[in-house]
Amino acid sequence: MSSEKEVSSMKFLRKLFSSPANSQVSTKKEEKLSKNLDKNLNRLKETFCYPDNQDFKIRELYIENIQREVILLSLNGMVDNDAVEQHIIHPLLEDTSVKESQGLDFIKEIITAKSASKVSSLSKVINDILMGNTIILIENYSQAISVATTKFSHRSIQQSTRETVLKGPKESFTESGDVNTSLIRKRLRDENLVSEKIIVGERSLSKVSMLYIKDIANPDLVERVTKRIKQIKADTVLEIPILEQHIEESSYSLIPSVLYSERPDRAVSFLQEGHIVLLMDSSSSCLIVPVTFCALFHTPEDSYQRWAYGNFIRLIRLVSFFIALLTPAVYIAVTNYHIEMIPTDLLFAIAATRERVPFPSVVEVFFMEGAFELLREAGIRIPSAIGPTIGIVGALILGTAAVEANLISPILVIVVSITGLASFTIADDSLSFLIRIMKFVILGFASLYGALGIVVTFICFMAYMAHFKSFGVPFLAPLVPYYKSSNDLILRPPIWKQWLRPFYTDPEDDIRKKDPEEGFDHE
Amino acid sequence: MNKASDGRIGWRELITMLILVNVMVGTDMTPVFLFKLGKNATWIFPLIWGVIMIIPLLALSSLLRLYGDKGLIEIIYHLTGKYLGFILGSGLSLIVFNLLIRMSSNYIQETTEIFLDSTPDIEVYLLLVGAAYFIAKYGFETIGRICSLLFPYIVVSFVILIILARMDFIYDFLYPLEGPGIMKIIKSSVVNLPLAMEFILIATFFPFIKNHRHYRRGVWGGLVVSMITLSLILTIYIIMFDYNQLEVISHPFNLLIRVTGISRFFMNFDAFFFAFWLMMVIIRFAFYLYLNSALFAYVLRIKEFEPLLLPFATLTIIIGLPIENPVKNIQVFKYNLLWNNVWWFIIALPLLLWIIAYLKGEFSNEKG
Repeated sequence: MSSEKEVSSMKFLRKLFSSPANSQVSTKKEEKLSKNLDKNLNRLKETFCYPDNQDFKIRELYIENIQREVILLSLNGMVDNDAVEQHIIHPLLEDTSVKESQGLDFIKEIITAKSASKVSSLSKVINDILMGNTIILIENYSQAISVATTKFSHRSIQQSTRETVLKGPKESFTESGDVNTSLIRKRLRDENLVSEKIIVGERSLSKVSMLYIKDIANPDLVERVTKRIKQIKADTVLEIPILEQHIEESSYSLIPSVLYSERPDRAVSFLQEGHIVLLMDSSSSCLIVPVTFCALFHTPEDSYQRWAYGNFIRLIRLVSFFIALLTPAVYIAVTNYHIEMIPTDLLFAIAATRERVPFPSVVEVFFMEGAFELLREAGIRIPSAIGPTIGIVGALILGTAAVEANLISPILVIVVSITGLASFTIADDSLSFLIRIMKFVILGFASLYGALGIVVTFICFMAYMAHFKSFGVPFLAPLVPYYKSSNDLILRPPIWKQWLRPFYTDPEDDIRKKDPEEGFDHE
Repeated sequence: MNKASDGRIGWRELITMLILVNVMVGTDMTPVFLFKLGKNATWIFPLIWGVIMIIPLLALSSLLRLYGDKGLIEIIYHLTGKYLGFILGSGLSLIVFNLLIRMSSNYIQETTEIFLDSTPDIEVYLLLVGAAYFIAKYGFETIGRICSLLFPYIVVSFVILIILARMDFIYDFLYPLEGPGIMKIIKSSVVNLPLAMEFILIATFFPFIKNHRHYRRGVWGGLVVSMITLSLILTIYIIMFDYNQLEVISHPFNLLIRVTGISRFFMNFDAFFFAFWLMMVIIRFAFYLYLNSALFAYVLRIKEFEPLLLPFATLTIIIGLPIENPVKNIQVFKYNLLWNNVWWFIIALPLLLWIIAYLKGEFSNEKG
């Protein structure tokens, strides 16, 4: 008696502490296919709203050898019709070797498509149809055959438009998962390159491929990213940029925690450092996590150019980083609070040009910076046919005319245009946005408190950057906190000296190759 | 997940933090009072501090090694018991709080008087202490990171300053080397030893430092570099202005950056250096704000001290704001009863702790 009681109480406890998700799985049985062909067909027709939904293709065949009726199901527009014809229908109808006794195993001999498998649950059948497979239902069998016949139309591989380089490969990802994977595998022939598929979305299913190199990427990081993707509770995740916003850990932060790139060579170089690359079927770009400031700051060209040239362009970009962030603020601070800093001759020149301008310089700067942002946004939205016009209009109206109308002083045109020019050198879109928004914040404080305002905002910004983490990796690593790495930070050493993987991703295998000091001769 | 991102700092962060926080002493109004005591030999003071500091630091270092992950206040409680421990701990806490308020008032006066004379004190106060709070809120790790991030740039600006000021140096001002007399120098420098007390107080944060090796490297390296740098700064003041003038100049550092310039085109370059100076001010505030909250929390045995940062930041502003006349303020501060007796407290505390530990036989326990 007592033992029975114990058992029942144990059951109760288990029930109490088991999670609702687990209990659901145990209670709700998966619907299986039945042996009755018509029943299966009707069930599927119902699911796909058949008579209304004209894209649901049903094709009935009769195979003489086994004397059975066979039905092919697929969704129009997702399957390669030629492949269905050639690899399924043709063999089924013409091959005479099919025997009754073989059962479903005849798929091994007859169907010549690239992959085929047996399916028994209804939900799996539905998912496979949605993924673009062709389903073969056969009379008197409670299993179906699912044949991969997916084919979507997509662009051919084209040049990268966001991340252009002068030296190095030009091709970029396109809107096809298979092509994108092949672009990566072409560069990285490594048996440890793993591509995990994760299905996201509760209504419309999309497939996210997670690529990493098994013996380099840290397993904890892989698990963290997987968990993050599986956590997504959304009807649909259509595109990579939407996925980016779903997986990032701090949505309100100005700092991006994911790198968005459309270059396969870049994805590969990050894979080799122990990062994770995410691809989707429908997007012409990839996501790279985790990300650091250096990753956002670098461009692929830095490594393709020779050591001196690569470092030169990096220095230019570092300078322009500060110019884009601080120039308007410094101009306001100096002209309003620290006038003694300007050389006297220049001061008189500025004063003379400002003589006829009715507004304080703060208003001028905000006006011009606002106009510049306007121009920038208009440039993106404008149809490309009238694109060139905007440049002329913008330059004319905002530059010369505004000066002539005494709205702004000429020196301000220089300040604003150099800021704008500098902000275009920042390769990454997110980083560029970060700088553009912070520019206005710093500008606001500078107009209130001069140098004090700049310093206070700047140091708070720095503190935030130093504190920020992307998937557990400090944003400013390996600079602060210090990690061992190849010192590919603001400047980079020659390629042959970069023999360490950065330690901030905590790679399984730290070393790319032997310490070059022991090996080759380099001078 | 990440091995090295667990809230603890390494020696790189520690050394730069100690240097930036300590060297600030040379750029506020303290040197004015030191010059009254040391005349043209004031530059020896930091070197003497550095030498004297060795003994308490050695004692402290061996204690920290003995107790593993205990901080200064925990060791005090452990060795001296509940009551004496509370008195000693709150003594330290009071000294730091006093310093925080006086210091903040001093820097804010300096900022408003020289650079932003039309900005109300309260706004500058809110900005500087607010920024310090913002940084301190992210924790000790972030203070360390910001120090090691900005350190190279601050060093570069300091080197530029020296190069620009070089033309006006008159090295003869250094002689006679012994100034007012060796004994007087030693005596008056020892009394002002608390100006380097960060090196003792950093032991409070020992649990936030990766391990004893990192602590040792950071503290000893920091002590050597910052004492030499402080000495260098004082030397520059002497060879730039001569000690007679220094006794009447209230802001030697700000005068120094004002008189330097690049050729005749950029005669006044001071706002550039002022920006870096402000960064250091904010870092020093953040450090002391964090230290103060930590000491207070450890003494009262409160587990979470980060919520205390905001009340202490507010208190600093409220108490610090009404203090007028910074020169008087420093004078009162330096020559009041508390300050005059701080120096032996700072030296004696680690030694006392070490002796108690020795008598209790804690060291032999470890060996056995």
